[in-house]
Amino acid sequence: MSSGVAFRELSFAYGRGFHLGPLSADIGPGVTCLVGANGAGKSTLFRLLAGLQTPTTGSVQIDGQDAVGYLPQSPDFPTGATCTEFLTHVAWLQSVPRRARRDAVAHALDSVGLTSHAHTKIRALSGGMARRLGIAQALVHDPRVVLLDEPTVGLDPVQRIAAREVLEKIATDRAVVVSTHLVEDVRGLAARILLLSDGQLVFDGDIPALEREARPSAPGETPLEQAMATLIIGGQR
Amino acid sequence: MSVHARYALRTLAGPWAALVVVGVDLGIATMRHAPYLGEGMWTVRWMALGLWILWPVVAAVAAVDAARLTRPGSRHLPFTTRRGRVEYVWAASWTAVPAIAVHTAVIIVALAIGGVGHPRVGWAPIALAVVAQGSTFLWFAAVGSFIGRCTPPLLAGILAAGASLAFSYVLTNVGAAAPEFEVLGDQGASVSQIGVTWNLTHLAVQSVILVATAAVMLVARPVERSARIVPGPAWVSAALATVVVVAVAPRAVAGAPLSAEPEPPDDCTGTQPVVCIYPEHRRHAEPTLAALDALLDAARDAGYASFVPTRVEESSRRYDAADGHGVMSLPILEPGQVDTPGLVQRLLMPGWCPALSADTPPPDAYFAAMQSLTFTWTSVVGEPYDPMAAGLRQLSPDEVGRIQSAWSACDLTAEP
Repeated sequence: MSSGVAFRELSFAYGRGFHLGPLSADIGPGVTCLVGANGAGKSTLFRLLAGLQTPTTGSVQIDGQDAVGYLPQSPDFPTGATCTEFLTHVAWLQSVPRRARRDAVAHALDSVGLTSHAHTKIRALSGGMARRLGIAQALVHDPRVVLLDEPTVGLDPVQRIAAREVLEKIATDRAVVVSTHLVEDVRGLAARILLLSDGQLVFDGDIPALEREARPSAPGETPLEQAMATLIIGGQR
Repeated sequence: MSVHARYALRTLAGPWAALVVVGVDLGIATMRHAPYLGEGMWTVRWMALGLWILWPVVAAVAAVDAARLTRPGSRHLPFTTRRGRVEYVWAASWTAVPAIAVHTAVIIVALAIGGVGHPRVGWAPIALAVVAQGSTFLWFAAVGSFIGRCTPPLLAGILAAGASLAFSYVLTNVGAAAPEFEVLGDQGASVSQIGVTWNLTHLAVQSVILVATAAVMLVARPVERSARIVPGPAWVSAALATVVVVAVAPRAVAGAPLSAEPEPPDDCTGTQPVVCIYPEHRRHAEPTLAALDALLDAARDAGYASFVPTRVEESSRRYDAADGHGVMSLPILEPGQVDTPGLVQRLLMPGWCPALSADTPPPDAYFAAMQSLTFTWTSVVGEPYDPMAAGLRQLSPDEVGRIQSAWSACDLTAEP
């Protein structure tokens, strides 16, 4: 396994309904986009990788450390606390040593461009800044693997660009897995794309390879959109 | 203030429960003028009178805090971080520790104001009793946190408060003197505690059970299944273990929670008669002693020699020195105005006679004689007592002597 996360024959069943997997992949440094329609299983896969849920079968291996950095799809952070207070608490939960905690928090804030808002209460942050704080709390213990579940959803175009810049910056030396269904995120970020459809991994490759999957008859204005539509619709058949 | 403390104060409801504890405790501390504040044991047990109000509050806020940590957008912290399990303990501790701290502080202040320098029962039992009370706060914070992990915040608070009220009735002796061990027992007393002491085994076992089961509940996490939090094996096991321990403990711990240790009063003054009271009650003895002096002086001046004893001793639980042969008993001294007829009746009461503590009441003649004796003695101090407007008459010294002589031999049939 390269520096990152690997999963083998990973599956999860919701009773007799939706079934995810079995899935296998190695994910190394850089940004990997996990793409799929709503309900394809992206968030379920993230919860399995983060350790929130126990898989029905298979296993997950995290390189180097036991705790990934994880941003849930709809984060619910304590709005009465300041950014520094919240990140210090998360650093404590992540076993960052007391002496290193202050620097870890400052570094995480710097990574997402929130240094000037270190002592701002979370309730006073804009939507974009709150998303960046969510990324910072996933980074504060300097994990090798960061899982971000739809980190750009709900952001305006400017905020989305800023968030993508942050993700590119933090992905230079760690595996950053981003769940998204936004085509512009994929085009702007992804070195690698995993495409889920109806619980199955239907594509694993880079953007040029994905674009080659496009059928001209598929809905979409660009080859990337047509390719994603082709695979998603194909996977649901 | 540290970053951690600020974070806790800004994000948790738990620490603020301490304000409720302070309010209730101060209300209890000043209630009824805290009649026996000089007694160490009484002070500790008096301060426990408000616990049944505080337990649901502590449990409810701990439940709300735990439930908020478990919301879908927050639960990755307790469930995926390296110290995730500790976050529930951390939140519950921020409920329990401030509550314990302020409750203990109020008790210490009350002991200091009462001038308790050398408590009759000793400092170790008092400390252990405070630990037992503190353990109840920890236990209810753990109960609340335990419930809150599996429920939404509002429901968690309601369920935890309701469960706590139920526990406070099932597991405690509020309102009744239980003869056996109870997990939340020995909480609260309003009467003077001179003459009894704690069963230390009970207090120790109680503290151990509460702390141990609280620990079990605090470390047990539910599990996430299909994106929902449900009680998992650890949570269910912790619940069962707690129920079993709490149910079995009363059957495993022998003896009564309190034991009698009758002690005579040792703060004595005067000669004719010698008057002995408990030093803990010296602070509010003056009105009663002044009334006693007035009664004795008036009796002497009017020739009622049998009304004048050689010794007067304050009574307490299980201690009554009156013997019908020159020793009379004072009631337990309390702050407030003196009820002269009540004081007279207590001085005259033949407590040494078994008939007064028998299942059947004493003969009517006893009550008639007591009324006449009381009317006689209060009349000589200018406060005639005739509550039934029965036309009582003042007895002569000989008649008084005859009745008291009969009573000294426990003949309660002597008529005025």
